[in-house]
Amino acid sequence: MNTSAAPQDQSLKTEKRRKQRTRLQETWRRFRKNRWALSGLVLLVLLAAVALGAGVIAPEGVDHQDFTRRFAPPGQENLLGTDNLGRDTLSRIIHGSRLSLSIGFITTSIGLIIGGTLGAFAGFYGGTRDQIIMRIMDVILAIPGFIFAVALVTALGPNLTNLMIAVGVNSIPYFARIIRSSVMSVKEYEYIEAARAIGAGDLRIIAKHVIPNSFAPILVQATLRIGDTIIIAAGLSFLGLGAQPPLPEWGAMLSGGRQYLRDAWWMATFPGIAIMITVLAFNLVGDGLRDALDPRLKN
Amino acid sequence: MKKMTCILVIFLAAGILAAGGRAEREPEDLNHLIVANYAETQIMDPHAVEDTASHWINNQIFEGLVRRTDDMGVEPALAEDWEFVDERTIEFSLREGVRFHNGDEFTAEDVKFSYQRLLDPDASLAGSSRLAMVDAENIETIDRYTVRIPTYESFSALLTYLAHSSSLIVSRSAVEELGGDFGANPVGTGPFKLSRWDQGTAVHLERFDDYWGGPAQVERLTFRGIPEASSRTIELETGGVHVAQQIPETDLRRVDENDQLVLHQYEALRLNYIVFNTQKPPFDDIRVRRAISYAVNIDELAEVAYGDLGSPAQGYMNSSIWTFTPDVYGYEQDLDRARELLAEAGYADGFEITMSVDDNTERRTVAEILGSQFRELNIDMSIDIYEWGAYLQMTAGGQHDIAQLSWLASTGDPHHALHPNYHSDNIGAANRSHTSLPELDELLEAGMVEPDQERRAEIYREAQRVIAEYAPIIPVTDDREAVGVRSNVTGFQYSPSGYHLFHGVGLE
Amino acid sequence: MGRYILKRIAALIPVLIGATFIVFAIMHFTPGDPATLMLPQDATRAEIEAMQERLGLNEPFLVQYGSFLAGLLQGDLGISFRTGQPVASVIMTRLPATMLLAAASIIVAVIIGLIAGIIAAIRQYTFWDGGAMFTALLGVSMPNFWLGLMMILLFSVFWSTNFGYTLLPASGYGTFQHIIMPAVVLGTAHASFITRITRSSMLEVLRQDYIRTARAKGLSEWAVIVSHALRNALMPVVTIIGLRFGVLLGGSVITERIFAWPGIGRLLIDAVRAQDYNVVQGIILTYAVIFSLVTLAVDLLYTVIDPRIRRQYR
Repeated sequence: MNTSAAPQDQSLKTEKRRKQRTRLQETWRRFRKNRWALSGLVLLVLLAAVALGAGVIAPEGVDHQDFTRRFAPPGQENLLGTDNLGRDTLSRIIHGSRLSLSIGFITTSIGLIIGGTLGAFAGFYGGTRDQIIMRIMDVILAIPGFIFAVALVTALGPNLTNLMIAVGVNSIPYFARIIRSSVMSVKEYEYIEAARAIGAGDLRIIAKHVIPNSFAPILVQATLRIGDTIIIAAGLSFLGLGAQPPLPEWGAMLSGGRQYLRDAWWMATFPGIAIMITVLAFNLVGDGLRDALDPRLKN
Repeated sequence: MKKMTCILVIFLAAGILAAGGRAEREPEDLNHLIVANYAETQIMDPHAVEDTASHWINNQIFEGLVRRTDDMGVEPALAEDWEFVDERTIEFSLREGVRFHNGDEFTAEDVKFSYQRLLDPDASLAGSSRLAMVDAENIETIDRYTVRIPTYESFSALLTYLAHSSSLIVSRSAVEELGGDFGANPVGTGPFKLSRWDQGTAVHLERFDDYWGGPAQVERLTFRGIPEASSRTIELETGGVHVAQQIPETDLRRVDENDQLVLHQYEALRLNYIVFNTQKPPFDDIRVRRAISYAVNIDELAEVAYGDLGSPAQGYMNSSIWTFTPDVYGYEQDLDRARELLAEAGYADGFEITMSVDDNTERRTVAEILGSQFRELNIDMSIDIYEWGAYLQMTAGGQHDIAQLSWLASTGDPHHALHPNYHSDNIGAANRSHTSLPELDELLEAGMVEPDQERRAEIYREAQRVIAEYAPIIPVTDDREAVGVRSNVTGFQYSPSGYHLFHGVGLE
Repeated sequence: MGRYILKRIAALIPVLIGATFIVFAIMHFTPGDPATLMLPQDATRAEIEAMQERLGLNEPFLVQYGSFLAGLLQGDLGISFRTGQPVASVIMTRLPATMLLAAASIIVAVIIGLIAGIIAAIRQYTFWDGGAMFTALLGVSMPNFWLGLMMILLFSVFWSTNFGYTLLPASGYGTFQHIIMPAVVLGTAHASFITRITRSSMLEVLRQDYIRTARAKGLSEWAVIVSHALRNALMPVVTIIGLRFGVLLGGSVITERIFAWPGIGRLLIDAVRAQDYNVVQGIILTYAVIFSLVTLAVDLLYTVIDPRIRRQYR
């Protein structure tokens, strides 16, 4: 980059920052108006707090077995009852929040980072590179996602890490498509032209200008996707392809508790409710964001 | 836009109509018995499959020369009588006037054809290993109703192997006519013949009126494949089926207490056990294996993990097998003893291991319990779950530290119970503890050929003593199975093999 | 138009080949082997090797894949390792059940989605908006095996113990009653997407001039919404149904298992576990073909409905 262009670039940046700030404020103002979305956000903050403080909040350890109190119903001693090995369900759900949130965030990040990079490249350069990348994405998309994950976990071996890899790979084409189309829509804008004119390199343009401007749709999709991945993970657990014992992953708890549903209903019901609340919260926030960020929906 | 609405409406209507079909509730048909199997049938060719869900149905359609009795003996089926011509040859006199479902008469040719088909090395059929001792090439038909079957070596348990489902007799003419389609159009001599196969839903059988043992009680017999265990119970409770196989532990009490249902529980021939890899540290050290054996409380494991579907095991083969020896097992829980042995072996500070298990619920539970209990001995045990195929491969290859398996000696013979698991020839296959003891190999070989029952029993008792000494496994439970039956079902008799027969079963 | 369709179908071929290749590779490198899984556990090493030989598993990976492709070109999907039956016929006997379930669940999803979406749009930013979205989201937020088990307990078990008969059969196939629970379980899981798209496209349409004109003409609000707004808002809804079809097919795996539904999803899971390569390949191919054709159909529907797009393909 030559020196004479630097101050110009600088002023361009400040201008953009200011714009972004006001847009952020505007978005927040509109997000706040939506009470359902706001309650979703509150739930998410609470969940994050529970996950972070799990060690302190949980009354017992993850794998504290006590055969003298197997299948204890919910009550004073154990608020949400105990399981077939006499472990406190509430404690396991609290510890499990870390796993379920990690699954959501890590798998979505895998998809976002790899898929995002591929999509940004494809969209920015177009031509043959675009064709090759997007045809590969089409191939993955033609295989139903859940089945692809089943095959992949079967091949890699069922455990938490592989589950995250499989679900993450699954999300790659999803994000590649979204990011490609938003990159394509912003790359012709004036400020990109301007940056190019002052000699900024491709990578720099993508990182500094294109990605921040495709941020809105990606944020919405990523939020919604986190919810989806938690459900997919639970489905894999149902088929015995989930986290390994004694990990208190919610899907695994739910799936393990299903055989006791008619006698010890709490074993499957509470992890199920935990999943439902979490996924619901992500969806409400995602939908709220979508509304708040969509200029067409302004009234 | 109208067009699209039209398309949508047609789509809706087609879906609803297609789903409509027969929606009426029918009164119970007393000539139609419905059975819930725990899996779908794969195919109705007894030689080509090896899973018990398929074989249960095969046993209604086909018969063997002999049939196992409930007390582990054999009784005549298609053969009326037999005698050993010499040490390696058995001669069967066949029942006369028996008809196949296609009207052909059953003869010695069908027997010869069935076994030669099963054992054809080019076909490599799934059931072939069951009769690997039979010299199929040299099976001789003496006359229309007499057949001689030679074995490569003297093999004392031949009859129990011939009673196995892989040895069921198929119709020669039907197989030659149908070729690869035989499995979907089976022709046997059994009391039921195939009426319709709705793949993925049910197998519908109907009564074979010319059955040599007289016609069956019911006209129609349907096997539905219902993989979810709790759904099988629910179908039984709500009258969707009359008989449900493999009632899960959690539903036993519910079925037992329901006055519309009858629960039958029986000892199955399966032994569930924890297996050490005896060739890999730390379990290559006999002291460590013994220490862990002393550390485990079998009664508690059996109770918590298996409940009423397992009784604590007391030895190295299922207790229903006639040579079972309970007094050889001497590892009562003794944590002090375990610590001593570990210290002796140099592991006073414990070690790290991984227990490999497949996705079986009970085995997962056993692993979770042990993982928690071993902490007391400073042993840090993590759990790896494998898909069944990968699990078989990695245990056969000896990559595991410690694992869990079960062994179903479906023939009820001690050779079947011990030889595959402990003979050094089977390392890389069923010998997953990788036990290699020349002394044990000799005993297992002697037991295979010994014709005298008394002496045979003594050989296997000795073999179990040797195994106990070596401690390659920790037995956990003898399996119990449960089958639920609606109370209006008559004449139901369970079979320890799990292949309950429906010839004499009716509805009232 | 005809040329466009041909071109699109031609573009499908590399996608289908790619999909089968990926799955074949995954299956091939999955530990374990079909021969061991088919044989009894007491099979010897020699017997396992003989079986591997018969199944052609000793060939190098690319040779195996090549012979699969060669068979495919002749319209032959091979035979199932486990049962010896031709894969094509196995799939054809199972496919109708899966398609029926997919169609029925789409109906459920559309009913819920349209109603909730319209309510949300015409009452934007009110309690009703959020409430309708919330309701539609409930289905997608529950693991569907959980919902399935709960429904079975309620409609089969609870009903029969308290009222003496079962309202809906717990599992199986064949009558209208059998399809209700699986369709509701699967349909509710997809309703939220239809709700979202209905809402946003309704919102957009409702702001158009012709809606104002219609209102100004004194038409009732109901008439405006149904005959003007909804019609024009439906297009994106149809698109999303098409795009969700693949997800729906994949998602039916669990529902099929819970309700013992005889579709290809259950068959696929069994085949993956038994490493019955040909069956897995055949089903993946079926899924990919169906998914691609549905996507094509949606695109074509666009051109039929919207003359401006049609002109582009002349």
